[in-house]
Amino acid sequence: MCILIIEDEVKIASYLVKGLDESGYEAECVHSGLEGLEKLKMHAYSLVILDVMLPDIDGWAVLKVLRQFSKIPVIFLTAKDQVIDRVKGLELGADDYLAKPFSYIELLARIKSLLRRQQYVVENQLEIANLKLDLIHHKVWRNQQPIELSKKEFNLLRFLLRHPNEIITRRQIASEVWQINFDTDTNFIDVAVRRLRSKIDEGHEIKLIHTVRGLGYKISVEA
Amino acid sequence: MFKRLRSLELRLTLLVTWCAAMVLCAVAFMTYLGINQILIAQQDRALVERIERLEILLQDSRNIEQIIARPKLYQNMLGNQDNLFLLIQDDQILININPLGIPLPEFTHQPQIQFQDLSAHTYPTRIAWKTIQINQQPYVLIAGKQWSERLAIISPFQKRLFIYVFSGILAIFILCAIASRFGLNALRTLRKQTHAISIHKLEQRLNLNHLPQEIEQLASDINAMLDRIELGYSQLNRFSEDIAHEFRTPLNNLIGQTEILLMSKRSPAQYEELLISNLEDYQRLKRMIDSMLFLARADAHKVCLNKQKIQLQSFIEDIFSIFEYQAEEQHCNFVLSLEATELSADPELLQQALYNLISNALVHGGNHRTIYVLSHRKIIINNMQMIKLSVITSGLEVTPEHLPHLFERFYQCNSSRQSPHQTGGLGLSIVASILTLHQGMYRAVNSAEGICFELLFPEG
Repeated sequence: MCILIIEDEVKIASYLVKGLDESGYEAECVHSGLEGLEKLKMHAYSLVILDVMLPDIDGWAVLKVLRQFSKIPVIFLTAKDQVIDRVKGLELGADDYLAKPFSYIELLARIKSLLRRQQYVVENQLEIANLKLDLIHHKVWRNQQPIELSKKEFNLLRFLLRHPNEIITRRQIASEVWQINFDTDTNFIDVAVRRLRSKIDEGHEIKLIHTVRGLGYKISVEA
Repeated sequence: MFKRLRSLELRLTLLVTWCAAMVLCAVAFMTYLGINQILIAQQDRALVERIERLEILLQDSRNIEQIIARPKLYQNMLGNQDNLFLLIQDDQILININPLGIPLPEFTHQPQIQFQDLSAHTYPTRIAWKTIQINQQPYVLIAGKQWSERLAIISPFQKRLFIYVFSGILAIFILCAIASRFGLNALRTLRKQTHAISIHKLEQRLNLNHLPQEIEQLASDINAMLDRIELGYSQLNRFSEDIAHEFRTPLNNLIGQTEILLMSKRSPAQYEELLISNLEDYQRLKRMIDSMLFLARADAHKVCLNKQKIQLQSFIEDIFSIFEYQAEEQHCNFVLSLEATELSADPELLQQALYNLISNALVHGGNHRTIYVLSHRKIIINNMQMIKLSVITSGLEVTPEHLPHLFERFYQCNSSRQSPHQTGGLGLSIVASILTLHQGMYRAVNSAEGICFELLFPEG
């Protein structure tokens, strides 16, 4: 799984390489569009992270040329998050879009979802350790004991369970569970997670919902 | 040249001069024609008199014979150089006084006096003729007078008239130039005063005293415009100052905390603590930048509206669900009461507006409040059908002097800025921008229940 980063900001490119490396991906970076296209023609990558503003040819042009010979997933990065850019990027065949400043955790989540998209399976049950969630009947059990959850709590747990062992940011939760796509303070999410945790983890030796300080939450057997 | 022609002064002068010249020329021409006519009439009268006198004289047949016998006598008696006199019977010229030898046309018999101009000759002459009967014999009596007499009067008169008209036009041109320069002096004063106004002296106004009425109107319009610009500019100024201040607070935390931590060796836990705290401040900065970008774009109308029919019941219940736990902890409850059940708006923006209002209600309202969200039947304002949404916080009042400023950017009723959960005083201005984008209206009033934020969305 090798990811190519085409980004002229050296600092961003290098921390992305470092971050992706730590997250278990192999990553390379180039600082210009032509170099990027050259690399894409020579090697097989599984995903491209493409900046719009590049010194030689811009990201749109790179994407146009790239789409002539490859269907590789592309995530666009740009400082201009205007709607028109978003539409343009998606029309040209970008698979996802992130406006700067973006959170690394979110980028990681998008990369994971794009790489997983090809092998997506429809589940009707999610589980971790002895926690089970029935998607069809909207029921939850911990250690065979049924747990009553409100609609939002259920949606929140389902979202966490679909991404086991991954860090989920508050923003992602706000967007996924409450459909809030603008930046807000996220206190209400902390309260919601606290409630959910008390219903799921209280009285059990193994805690499943963990707070990752400063970043968000994670559902996993180990902290 | 064309640039000069755009001068109001020159245009006025030329226009007035042109009109005056037309009038003067017309008057001069009429005068000339009039004098000419009078002179011609005078001449004709003289000719008629002469013919009549001779007709009486010739009624006596003896006289005719004498005249025929001694034409020279009559020549001397009647003639000087510029007079002409002929008496013709059939083809025989009985008297011929024609010292300049002017060729005469054929005469037909006419009982009335006829006039004719003979202008082809070197000495143009006007003649009058008449057929008279003497002893049942027709005679043609012809009298003539040269133009020179009339021309001697008319041509110097013409020359004078020319000079008078020309000097008249010149005088009007000069007077008009002076008058318009004087009349437009007020504009020059205005210009001088306008030059004195700059960004640093925006409080300066144009002096309206002693200005002509039209210019005074212009000047007072300019003053009104300056008022608006000054207001906008000072708001903008305060806005940038506030932005700088708002940015300073998180930056101050970042710099201070990081410096203190780096002063000596710390445990990994302490470094972690700092990074987390920093991340919070970064996120706060990002939120502020996002809000400001949104406001700037909304101001420039660069936000695309994605208008849809929204079912209010489920839409607002979803927003309530965001605040469910927070409300429970504060012992607050929500009441939703809908008269209009549908609204067309951009869902994401409407969500943000209501989110900001409810969040404000919980933060500023404190505990034990009821937050009402109401929709009202269509009302018509300015020929537009509007749907009104109100968000009311029970038992909470805002001092009337703060009400008109609530939607201003960074406006806070109490001057302390210690509220990290908020958008830093931009929440309500974002609401205002959202309504402006929808071409709607907004206001805050103290109702009987409590502070009430009214949002009016145009229908359709």
